[in-house]
Amino acid sequence: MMDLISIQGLPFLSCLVMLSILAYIGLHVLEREVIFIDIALAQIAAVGAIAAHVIFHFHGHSIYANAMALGSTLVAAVFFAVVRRRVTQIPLEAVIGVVYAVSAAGALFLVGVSPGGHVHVQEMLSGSILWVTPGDVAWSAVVFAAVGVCFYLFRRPLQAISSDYENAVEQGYNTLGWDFLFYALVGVVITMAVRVAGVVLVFTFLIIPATLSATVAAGWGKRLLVAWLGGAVSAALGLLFADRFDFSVGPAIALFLGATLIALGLLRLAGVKRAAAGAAWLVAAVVLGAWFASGSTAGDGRPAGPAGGVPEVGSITHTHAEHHDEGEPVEARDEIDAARLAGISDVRELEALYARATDAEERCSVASRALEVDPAAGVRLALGLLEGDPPLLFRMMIVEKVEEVGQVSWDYDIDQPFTAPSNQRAVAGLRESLAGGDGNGQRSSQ
Amino acid sequence: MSGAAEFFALQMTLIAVVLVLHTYMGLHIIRRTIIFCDLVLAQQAALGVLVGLALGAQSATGGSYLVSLAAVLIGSVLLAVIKPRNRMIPREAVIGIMFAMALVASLLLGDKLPGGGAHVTKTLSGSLLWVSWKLVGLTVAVYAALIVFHYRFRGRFIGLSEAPETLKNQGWWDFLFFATQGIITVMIVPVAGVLLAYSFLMIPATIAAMFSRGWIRAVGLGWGVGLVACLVGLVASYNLNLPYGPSLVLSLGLFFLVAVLIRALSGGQREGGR
Repeated sequence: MMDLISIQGLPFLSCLVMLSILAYIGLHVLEREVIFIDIALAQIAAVGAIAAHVIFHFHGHSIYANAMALGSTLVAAVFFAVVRRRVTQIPLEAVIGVVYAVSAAGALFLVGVSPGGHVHVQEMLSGSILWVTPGDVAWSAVVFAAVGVCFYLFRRPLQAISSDYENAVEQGYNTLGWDFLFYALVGVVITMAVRVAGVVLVFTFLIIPATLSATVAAGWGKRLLVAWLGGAVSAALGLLFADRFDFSVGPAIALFLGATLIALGLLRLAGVKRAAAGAAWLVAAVVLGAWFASGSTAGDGRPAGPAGGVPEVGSITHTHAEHHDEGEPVEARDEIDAARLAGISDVRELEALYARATDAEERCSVASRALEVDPAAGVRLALGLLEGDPPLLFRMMIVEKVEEVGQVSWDYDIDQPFTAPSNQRAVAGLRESLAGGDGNGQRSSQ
Repeated sequence: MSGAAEFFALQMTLIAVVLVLHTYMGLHIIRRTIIFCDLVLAQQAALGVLVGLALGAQSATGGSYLVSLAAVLIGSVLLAVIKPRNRMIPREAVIGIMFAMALVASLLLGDKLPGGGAHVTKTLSGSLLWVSWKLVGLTVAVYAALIVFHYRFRGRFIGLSEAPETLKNQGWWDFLFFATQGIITVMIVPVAGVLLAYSFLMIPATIAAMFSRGWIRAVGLGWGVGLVACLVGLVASYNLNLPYGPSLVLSLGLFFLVAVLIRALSGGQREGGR
């Protein structure tokens, strides 16, 4: 259980920090009926960050990338405030929709002209909340607190404009200025949150808790409390679920937020009282959470974990495991690093190492070294690696390595599964050229 | 050179046909303020493609289209049926949540499919480059049938947008509206990707709605502007070797920006700002 907390604690804390401000902004967003504002702003922030990376080669999480992301959202804030005031014939949501599509296309465009694009797009959508650092959480807490203070100080004009724009104009509010402030504040929050959690999760944190609260409560204060509680419990469930069944964390949390809303909505539709519906949902959430946590892969010392792991590790490390039974898996992992690999030039040893490797990264580096030592054996390992469908990065690395060593351009498409017909043809072609052109491998094996 | 000529002819024919219906549907969507329902359907279609892949149907085959169609029709039913009575929840919020759920399902499924991440990206950006005459023929046929259908029942659909309470069987026409949108989405998403399909639908119609209140004139205006913008994007993409779908969207976006500027500078005056 301690392992579970140490792995999931920080992501969960980060979720709570984001939820605290996003749920409140969500209430505004529902009132204003600009539901997709944050998807648009998040997308714009992402474009800014990607542009910083692709055009100016700043590191993705550097201060410059963040500044570019923030700058882009501020420009968008001005745009939305002006359009709301000046262009009356179309709903603002239509403009938001167009801005979203154009900025998403902008991101794909930038990614399309730079290599390794899929990784960006995937991460932009799913986020990487599992790898959040204490620094990230602290920073976002400070910024969100500042934004929260702004929202509190200016709550009267902001809420008046959110509730009834035309009326606010008549009362003499400077709607252009306040709108800019609103979109700028939202932009700051979205920019920070998306860097950590990805577009999907931020969007669901914004919309679903606020909608959820409307099904069981009324009034800003009560709704905010319900939104926080519902969001926090869903986040916990999502984290545990993703851990248990090995899914991306962001989408998993979003899934449970959605499930919570649907469950409560159906209960309310069936005529169940607010309090009863809420209580029933809480009980269900606790039961589900306990079930997910009981089978967690992080829960060390539980019968389920080691029992599942031992035979696999044992059979692979069979020949090496005689001397030290308990510590072996850990040591086997530590043995495979770049420096050690560079010193190995015996193919047999590399093959043994490959068999013992515990993840795609290790297999990839062993196979790469094998390719350098003995192309024929290396290609066998590389094909084995590709067949096991490693993450995209390793597919890319290993295919590049094969091409580099063989000095050929190999038409294996890393975007397709290993079993795709085109890739099967590419693999067959490579095997053929090896068998035909490489007499060495044949001779040594005889 | 003739290869390039045929490429342009194919692309522009497809785009010209697609834009007629998309502009018209887009006008409805803008006037009803259900902007993102298309994104929901497009994401449902993309989810359908992924489910098809999981079941062993390669994308852009008959089986894949069928699964997509089923996913989209389910989405249409949900869109037509779910209308929150609670005034605190706008209909667009429901649409937003449906979109998020479809996207989440795609991402989670992508986690478990071989090369899933690449598939998810591909459903976003599409592969309009691989259009064939056969596909254009099929698309034209389906679109023509839908245009005839919508022309025949234009009174009902326009009523749905302008005065929904006077219409009998409102839910049924709502479903037919979303189903039409779903079918064109299934046709267009595998070739154009979610974003370009969405842009075809929204951008010409938004530009038209800024300048015209009628239906016929707006469709004509949107179609013309859309076609010119696509041609610009296509030529730029071909000559400068830029990513295809995103180039078209960016070109459409540029025209939209110009339209917004014209509108903002010409002030809040009503008809005929051009």
